[in-house]
Amino acid sequence: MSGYPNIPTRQDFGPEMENVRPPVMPTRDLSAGQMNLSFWQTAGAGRTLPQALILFDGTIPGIVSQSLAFDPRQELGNITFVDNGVGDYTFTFASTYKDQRGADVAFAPLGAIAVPQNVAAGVEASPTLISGQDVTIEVVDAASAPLDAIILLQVWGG
Amino acid sequence: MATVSGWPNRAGRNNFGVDDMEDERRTVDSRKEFNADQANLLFGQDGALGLIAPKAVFLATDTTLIYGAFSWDQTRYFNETSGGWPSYFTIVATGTGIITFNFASTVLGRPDDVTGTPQSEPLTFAMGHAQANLSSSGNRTRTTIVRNTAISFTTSVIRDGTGAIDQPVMVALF
Repeated sequence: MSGYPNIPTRQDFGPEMENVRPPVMPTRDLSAGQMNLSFWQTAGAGRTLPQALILFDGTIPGIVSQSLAFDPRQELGNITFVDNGVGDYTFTFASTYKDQRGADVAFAPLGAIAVPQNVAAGVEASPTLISGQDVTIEVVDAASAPLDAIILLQVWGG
Repeated sequence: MATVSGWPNRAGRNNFGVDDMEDERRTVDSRKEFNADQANLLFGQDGALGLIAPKAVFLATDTTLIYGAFSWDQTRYFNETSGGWPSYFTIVATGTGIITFNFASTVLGRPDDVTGTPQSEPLTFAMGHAQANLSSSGNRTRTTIVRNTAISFTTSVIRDGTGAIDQPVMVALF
């Protein structure tokens, strides 16, 4: 299996490795234990880390920065972003993204957490995932009035 | 040598062995040889991910695990209803908008390097965050999470103007 947007299991990294000979020099001998721990940690983190981190500013409005796990070479343009009105934004992910071998792999957002940044107390963001590829964020202030704000959005998908 | 067993335990850079591995000889064909720089980068990145990644993430209602991913359980995702979720995880409907998520105190982790048998590992969480993922727009919810114990968290969702409301909750535990 290739990597993101696929999420490899531990088995995808191959079997538990064994030392050909006992490691002698820690600086020069790569041990099976090191590689087995590396495979385990990578597979585990891949399952729990978000696949997208997006910082957007509703007052511009626009995406300030984005990091996509399936774009480690940072070649993709910004996620599609629509400003629906004050404090109301929709991000639309493509239905497929290319894996490391260039094959199209289906992707859909499954869950999200949106956190307002540098705003007054009581500001709250609510993600809604009501369409297959869309994540909609609504932001309100302490009095429940919509407002534009800077938001850090984390998206888990698969 | 690797010095910890990994998920659900955290592993930092030091757990992957010495800081600066070095090549025994100069790399001749970088497509066919794994060199010390690559190992150092790999272990550095792994050590960083091992410190910041959530141990568990899940999207759940009080009756359904819509999406569950657990760092120590690497062969499967979960999408289960009515208690079909993994045995180390339970969901308790505590009241309207209030859900308690409980974990077992030990889970099976990485196979032992020598025996190949998955090892029983203690499970603890230091903190978490949660947010309702609404099933329809316009609800304007506020979500809180309470850490009851190292393996028990309670989330509460309040809808503006109308009080508690049942909604799916996305949770990440660290």
